[in-house]
Amino acid sequence: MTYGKGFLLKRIHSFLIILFILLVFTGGNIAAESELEFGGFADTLFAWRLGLDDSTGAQLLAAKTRLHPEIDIYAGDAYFTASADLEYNSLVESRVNFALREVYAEYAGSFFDFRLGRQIISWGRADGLEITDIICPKDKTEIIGREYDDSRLPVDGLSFRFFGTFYTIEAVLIPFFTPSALPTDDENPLSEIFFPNTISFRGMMIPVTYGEAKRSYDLKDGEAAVRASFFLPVADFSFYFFRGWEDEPFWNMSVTFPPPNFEVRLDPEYGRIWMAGLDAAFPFADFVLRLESAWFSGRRYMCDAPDAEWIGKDQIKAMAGLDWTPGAGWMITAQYLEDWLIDYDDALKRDEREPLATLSLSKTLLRETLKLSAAAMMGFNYFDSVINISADYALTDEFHLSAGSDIFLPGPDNDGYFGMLKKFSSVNIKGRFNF
Amino acid sequence: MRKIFLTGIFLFAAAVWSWAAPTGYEIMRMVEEQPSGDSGKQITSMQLINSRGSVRERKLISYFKDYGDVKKTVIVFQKPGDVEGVGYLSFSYDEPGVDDDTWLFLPALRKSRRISGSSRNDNFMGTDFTYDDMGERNIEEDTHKFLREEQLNGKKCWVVESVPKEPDMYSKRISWIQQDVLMLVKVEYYDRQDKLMKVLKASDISKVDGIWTAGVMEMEDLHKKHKTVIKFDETEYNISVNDNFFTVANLERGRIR
Repeated sequence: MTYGKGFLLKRIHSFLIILFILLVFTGGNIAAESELEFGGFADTLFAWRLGLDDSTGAQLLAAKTRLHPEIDIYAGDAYFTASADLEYNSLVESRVNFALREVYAEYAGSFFDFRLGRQIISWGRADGLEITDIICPKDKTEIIGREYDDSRLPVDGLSFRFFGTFYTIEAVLIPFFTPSALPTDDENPLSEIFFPNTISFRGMMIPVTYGEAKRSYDLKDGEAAVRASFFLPVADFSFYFFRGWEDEPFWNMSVTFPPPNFEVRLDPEYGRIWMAGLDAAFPFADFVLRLESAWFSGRRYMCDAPDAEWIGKDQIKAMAGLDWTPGAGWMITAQYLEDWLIDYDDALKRDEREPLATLSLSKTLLRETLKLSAAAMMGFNYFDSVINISADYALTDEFHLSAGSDIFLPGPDNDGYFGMLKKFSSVNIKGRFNF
Repeated sequence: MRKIFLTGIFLFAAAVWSWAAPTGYEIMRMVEEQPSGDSGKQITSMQLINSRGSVRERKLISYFKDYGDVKKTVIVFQKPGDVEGVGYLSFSYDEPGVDDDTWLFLPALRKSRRISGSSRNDNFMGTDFTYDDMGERNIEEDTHKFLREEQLNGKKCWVVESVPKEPDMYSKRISWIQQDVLMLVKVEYYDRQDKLMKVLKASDISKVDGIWTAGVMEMEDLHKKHKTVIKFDETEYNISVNDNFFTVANLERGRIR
């Protein structure tokens, strides 16, 4: 994403408002009674295409450097934090991205707390799979060298928690909707797969343009969510309810005439949904069994025919996972996700069921200075998969170097989702300095 | 009459011997029953020193509260940057065989996760201490045998051998208990082949808030030629800590200082 001057001014304005709120909380005496801490990290990533699928060869696929400064102010029971990402993308000339990550003020009592401002909220027990973790939209503009947890975008709102020894009740109010970031930019290599410049329509390749959604600032168009969590000796449980918007749009197609100057226009439309979910974690011996499930109502799905109307269906996602920590620095995790549509319609583009499994192994060595990881994710409809391998070494406590590979493999009869990304199979090196 | 006298002398001698040299179990029980505070706070610095002498440092803050049958502890790393904010919340139960309830908070994930409480033999964050070494091992898990009395650093100590009742990463531990403070001042850990594996030394012992406390603990791994030195920069006991401090919600806030 590249933000213009207007965007920056708007964000600075928000920042000042939140700072003002903090001043009110602390009696306007931050300098005298508070502690200021400064930290953050800088990292850099280079990735090269493996060229497994064709003759593209080992082209540079990513070359980025990011500075992530953070400030924290502790002022009694109040707290303020601000962090931002400044990223330079070497592959796109003069492309410096600026994004505010989190900017919020917090007040903490002995049995409650609340945060007001721009924040990242993470829900659910699944690793790298999205089930109940739908509060924050996702940044889907990149897949190389990025982990699922890095992809969350912040939301602007209020979160309030009420808690006791064995429970936490959390409410989240988001006054306006923020969608996921999609790779619509022509310069993004993912756009040719997900947002191509031409599409096939009635046997012809037709140019396509993508519209932008209008954002609503009406209070009734906000989002709200509640989570109740319980932490007991035998297990942890959580119950979820969310009322909000789809983070990704349904694309409404319109075709302009006359022939031969056909043009297709796709306009995004976000659907109102609600979600009810639950999760649990049961520790036993060296294992933790994790369960997570959610019912989504109001989701919209495209039909096989590109100019057909969307069809609304309810969806169930359910995950069972097992973590095993046998000791000696080993961690082994396996997950199975079932994703199916209720009352399936054969006209739909997606399958009725989209089951998926993940397996990850990691081992720490040399007194936790070296971490070797391998992870795989496979779709069971087409047996397409992605394999991630990485080695992370701490040269010092502050400076980590890592090397890894993301390999996307198509299924035997059908590319499947991961197979579509096969040209992005790559190797990467990263460096990170924490300060 | 003479027989009664000799019997009396023998019984008296036996009683004196028994008083002078309690059994291994009694010694370890006395150590366990030493006051350790109902609650407390410690700021701890750790130095991890390898065979070439290079040093990595960690700093952490911990709070605990003892509820009798359960001890609640929260530990948060303050340094270095790559682990800053990582926190553990654990509930340790007195009942032998009951696993701890443990939650791990990783700031990068912005959520806590329930973790298995039984991997006690793994090293704690790259140090030479295992999770078991860091905690208070239940004395019922070992068979204790008094070996001898001897002087260590000019102080009179009991030496006790503790052999695990169930298979463990150590075949035995030999502990030196300083008699005047009833604290472990040295422990030798033997591997499964009965070879000396690690040595723990506690020093700089003083009374803090009326409780005997070691200011420095040093664990040396003789096999790996690696050493961890723990310094307790700040220790407070019997402080006022709200019960809600030891909650997952507080851990996830990531602001424990």
